[in-house]
Amino acid sequence: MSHSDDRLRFELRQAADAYEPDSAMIARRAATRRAAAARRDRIRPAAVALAVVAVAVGGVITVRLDQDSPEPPPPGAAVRPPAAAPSRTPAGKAPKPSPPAATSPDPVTEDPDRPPAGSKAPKKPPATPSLVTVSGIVDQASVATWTQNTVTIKADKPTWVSVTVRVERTRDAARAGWFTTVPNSDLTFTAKDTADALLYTYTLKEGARLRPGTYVFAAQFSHGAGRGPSGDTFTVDARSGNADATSRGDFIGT
Amino acid sequence: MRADREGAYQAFFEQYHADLARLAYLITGDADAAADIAADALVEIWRHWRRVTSADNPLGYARGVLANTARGWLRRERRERLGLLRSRLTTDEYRGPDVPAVLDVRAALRQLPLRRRECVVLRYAFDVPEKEVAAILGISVGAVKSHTSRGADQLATLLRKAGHTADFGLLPVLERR
Repeated sequence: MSHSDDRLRFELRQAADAYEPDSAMIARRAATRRAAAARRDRIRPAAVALAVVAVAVGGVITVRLDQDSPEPPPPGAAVRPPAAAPSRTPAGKAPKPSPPAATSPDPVTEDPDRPPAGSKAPKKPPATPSLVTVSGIVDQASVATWTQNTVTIKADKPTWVSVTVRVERTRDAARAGWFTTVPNSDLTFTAKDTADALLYTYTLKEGARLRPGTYVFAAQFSHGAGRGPSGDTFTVDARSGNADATSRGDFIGT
Repeated sequence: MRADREGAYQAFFEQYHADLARLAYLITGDADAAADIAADALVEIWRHWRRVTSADNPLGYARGVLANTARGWLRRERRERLGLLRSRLTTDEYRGPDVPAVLDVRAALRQLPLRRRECVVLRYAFDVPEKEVAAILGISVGAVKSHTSRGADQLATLLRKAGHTADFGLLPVLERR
């Protein structure tokens, strides 16, 4: 290598070193695009898979139509998914891959963790049709510094809903996007940041209804590493005919 | 297994994202685009993670993905610029010798044809062996040699003309825009 080669090498290295890449930005952009790529890559099975996973993990809430169910929760009180607490205790470590829950064809109306029938005072009369079934999971596309919290709603009849995802404002938490499988023309999305949370609200327009089916509402955000979903919650308000219901739940990791 | 893959990818990201962004920076000469291109390339790398892990040289594979991504960006950018130039006189771009008193390395690089630029950057700034450059760019070793030597000559000439003599060459690289 000649003298001039050495010079060039020096100049080029210096030019490369003069550029200090914004690592956080690259990580954020890559994570957002990864999620989009993941959605594209599994676009068809997604809806079904999400619903099944949600049930397998627990955290399913079925909101019933009857108003006079035993122990009516105080107005606005949390309806906690019974499986949420136990499934979160082994938090993080040894994330038992949820066994294939697909074995039960229509699991959504049954609570998997429900004690055998008759062992306890039933919370709800079995014959009551459900209004909506909701669940919250941390999407599998999530990574150490980026998370997608997904609320899945199964509506059995035309239903108006408003979904709020509350993301606890942990270190470096910042919005990174949202989406829903409900047509955007039927929906208003609102972003609100408070001192301790990022709020994602998806509200069906007045007059719009979910047709019977399963829908996904996703809230994406970046954050410092080492974050868990324990501070995140969701609220679903649902209305069908003249029945109203509100339910709240946690996000379960997968 | 998922967690393993995720961990391995995160480690790869931590270790190489800056290197990849710098490569994109030297190839495109554009700091904003470089971050973008690096992010895109890293997404591709994640999607084809098995190819990365089964590659003899994961970083080489990643650099190849990055070079491709950068090439696509340059093509789009060139199309847009040509569109602009057509509607404008080109005198802005070509302003006589007095303007770039210090033509920085980055600007000089941009004047090299893409292949030469890629070869010169990989060989000189990143010290990648010829054989690896050939694999990264998908061309023969002979082509790498020829692109590199022509590119180096051209770059040296450009820098000399711009005043990067032995004395002035140590000036800090200035950001101009």
